[in-house]
Amino acid sequence: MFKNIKLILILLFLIGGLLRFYAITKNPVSLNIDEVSIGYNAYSILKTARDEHGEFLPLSFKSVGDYKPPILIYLTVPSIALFGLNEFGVRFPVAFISSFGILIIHLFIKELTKNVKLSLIASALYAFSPWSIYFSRYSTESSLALFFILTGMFFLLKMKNGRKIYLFLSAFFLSLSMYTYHTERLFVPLLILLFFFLNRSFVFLNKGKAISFLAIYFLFSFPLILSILFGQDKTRVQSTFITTDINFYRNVLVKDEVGDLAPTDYAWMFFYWARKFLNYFQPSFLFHSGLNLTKTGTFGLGVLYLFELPFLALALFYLIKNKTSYLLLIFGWIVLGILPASLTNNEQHALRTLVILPMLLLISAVGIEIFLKLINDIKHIQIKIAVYSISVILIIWNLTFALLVYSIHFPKQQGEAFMEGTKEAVEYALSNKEKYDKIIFDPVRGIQGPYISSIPHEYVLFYSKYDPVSYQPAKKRLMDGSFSFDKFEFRSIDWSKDSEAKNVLLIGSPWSLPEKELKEEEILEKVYLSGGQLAFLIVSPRRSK
Amino acid sequence: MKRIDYLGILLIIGIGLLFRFYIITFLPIKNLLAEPILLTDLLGNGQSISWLTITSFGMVNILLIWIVSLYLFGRLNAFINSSLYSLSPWSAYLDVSGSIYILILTLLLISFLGFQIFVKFKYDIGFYMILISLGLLLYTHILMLIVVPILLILLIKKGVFKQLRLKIFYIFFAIAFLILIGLMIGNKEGVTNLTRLHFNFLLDPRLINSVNEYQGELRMSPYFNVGRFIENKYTFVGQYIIFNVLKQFTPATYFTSQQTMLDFSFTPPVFLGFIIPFTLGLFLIRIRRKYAAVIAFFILLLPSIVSKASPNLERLILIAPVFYLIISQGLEKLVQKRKHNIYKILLIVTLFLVIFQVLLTFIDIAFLEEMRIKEFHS
Repeated sequence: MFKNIKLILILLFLIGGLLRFYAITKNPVSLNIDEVSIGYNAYSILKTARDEHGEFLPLSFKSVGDYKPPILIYLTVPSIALFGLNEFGVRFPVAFISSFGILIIHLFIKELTKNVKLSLIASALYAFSPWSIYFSRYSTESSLALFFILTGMFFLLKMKNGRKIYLFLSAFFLSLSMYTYHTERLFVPLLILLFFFLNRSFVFLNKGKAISFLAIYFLFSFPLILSILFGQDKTRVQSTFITTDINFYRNVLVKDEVGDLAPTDYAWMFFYWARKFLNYFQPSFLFHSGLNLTKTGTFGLGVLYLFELPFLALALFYLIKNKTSYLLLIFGWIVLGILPASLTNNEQHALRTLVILPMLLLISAVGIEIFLKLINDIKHIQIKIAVYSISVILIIWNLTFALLVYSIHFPKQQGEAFMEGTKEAVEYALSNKEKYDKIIFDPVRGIQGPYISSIPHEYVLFYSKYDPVSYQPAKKRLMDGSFSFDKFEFRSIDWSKDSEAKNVLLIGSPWSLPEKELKEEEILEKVYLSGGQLAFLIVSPRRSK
Repeated sequence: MKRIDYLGILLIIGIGLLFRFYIITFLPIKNLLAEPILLTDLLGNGQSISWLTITSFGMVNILLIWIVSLYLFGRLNAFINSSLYSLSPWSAYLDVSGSIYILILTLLLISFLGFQIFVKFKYDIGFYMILISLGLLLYTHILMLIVVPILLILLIKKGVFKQLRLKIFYIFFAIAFLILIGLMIGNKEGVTNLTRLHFNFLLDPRLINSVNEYQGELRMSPYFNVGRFIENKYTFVGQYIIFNVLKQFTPATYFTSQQTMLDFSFTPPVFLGFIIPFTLGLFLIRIRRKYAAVIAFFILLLPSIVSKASPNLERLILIAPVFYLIISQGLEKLVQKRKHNIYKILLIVTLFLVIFQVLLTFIDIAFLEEMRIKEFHS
């Protein structure tokens, strides 16, 4: 079965690639804010070598105030050049590189365990992994960073017995992952420390290699360290750290807003953090709805398939009982991988913990290998067939369920999370731009309530392919605090006042443009989500004083 | 048994009592969970049991856990187990809020003690303890109608009772069931209401909405025919049950405030530091060929599994002694092997975290928990 390893890998690569690329521009249903921002900043770099704010080849992209890491944006530049500023151009790099993750995980696990069968099973699991597929199908830094970590760790393992070039490659890819996503900035240094600790006898005997590795790694990482400690990345850390978690203030300290913490409050913070940390082991996150593809509390997809549960249990028992050599690396990797995400101000965050996927897949692969051995040892042929059949049926059921959730329920239930409708609204505005003196776009939207700030100006820039040369220097913040460029204004719409305006196009959600107060002739267009809910109204007032 | 052992258990019970009085000094949670027993409900006199009575049963539980652990696992284990129950916020909060599950736990512990006395020492009193406690259990709560019969079947299968005792056993429970069934027939409406209230996990609106909404979305897609086999109420209910079962085994449920005891508390059921000896204890527990014990454990999980708000910490108190047993096994190991570096470090970390959290809990109860009740408790 495993004679033609290359053929199997090619097949897995093709299948995994297909799962990542098929209908990539249609599902997820829309580019989200991050994707649009990544796309436009890449376009701006392509045209001017500056980001949307005019900064020359930045190490950290200010974007919408979230200071994005640079690598994905720079990798999107050639994709935009090749495919254009559109959905495919934005999503191509991550899907492409993530497909190669199927091969790199095979190499990494084969090098770690010296077990080809195990590495092939892990590759297959990765190819079909809901966690990997979901975050490969839209532009996310996390998938890319994971690829770099696996590559870096592969070369780090090779370094033990191999040439000095592996040393350089390992340090390069590991530090590259830190420039790719925020989680890696804490995770990778700790992972390196863990690796060195677990291989301390090797390190002690090969001090030269170890020191060279650390020196190269530090050299590559130095600009980033400066940025985190003194530069723009410090802002990012401060804005997402657990001390800004509103739920901590509300539920634990019983306060209404985020504020300064007294020294004693940190005692509660520690146990609050422990709760967030352990929450990542909840069955709901792992197997039920961790990917947030459907409404909260309903059936969805966890980060792993439900059929992997018995294999995980079997593997854990085996690994611990046999004190397998890489057991501590597995547990350490998982603990360290969850640590950065647990220190932020969100609850379970599948994107930020993607780093632990390889280890979970390794455990599942071990479980599957043991399971196959156990079945093969069954003497009664009928029982053997029955066990195989039931297993295959359960796996097919689970995979089909995943397909249905992703292709049917996800677009209908979570379209709003991907800012569905904004593109259509913007395209209407762009195609009718000449007819109006002003186009006012209210950023606030939401089906449940006016809770979402959609940052529509990024969509206008993206879909109009707005010239960065004129956008960068333009004064965009008006005296009244609203954001504006060209004919576009991005501010709250107050229909009681804005209804008097002339030759103006207004775009807003039903919260700012209540349908009951609008005349029929004023409503030019309605934009709906895939789930049938009304997202935007496009209106031109027809009232005179 | 030395005099110091008796003094020790009295001290533990005394500390437990003080802890509970400390809680009610600051928190207005007396009788928050109080409910009548099944028998009084069926007779039309639904008087809830007072928190003072339940707390007394809680103190009895400490003693029972100590006695059972002494017989089965030895002195050190007995003191650790009973101390864990005594100082655990889980049992303390449920005691003072008058939870009927404390009383159910008492009866279960008596039956288990009776079982040990009968099997190990062949004393008849053990046999009668089993009969009376399980008989009373039947009349305590409607959920016991699923728990008790299975426990009875396990006892019969184990072949513990022979000849005359077996006859007495059959006759006693036949009469107990007949009387109960008669009362239930006479109060059908009450029984229906109780069943809906306590076996309500399938009435979860999220489950019902999932089934309806998903089928609606599927109908408009090209995958409808395939989807009917994959997504239907049977597969959803099956998944729902699996996840309900899995939730009972999540560490965050017990060692953090994930489930918020009594809907408001930040205090965890079990102090976080004990996760270390608990993990160690899991590897020390030998369950091979102890099928009856394993089945009994899963039966005691059923009340929480069938709850809409699963995992239900109130109902999970029934497995708390097993939980504490695992922790005490781990702690015992840590203490025994404290001369090894790794065990020493783990023991120090455990003690530090536990003591730190105990102090924090006392401060939290005094200053913040009452605010949380006002803010969050419906």
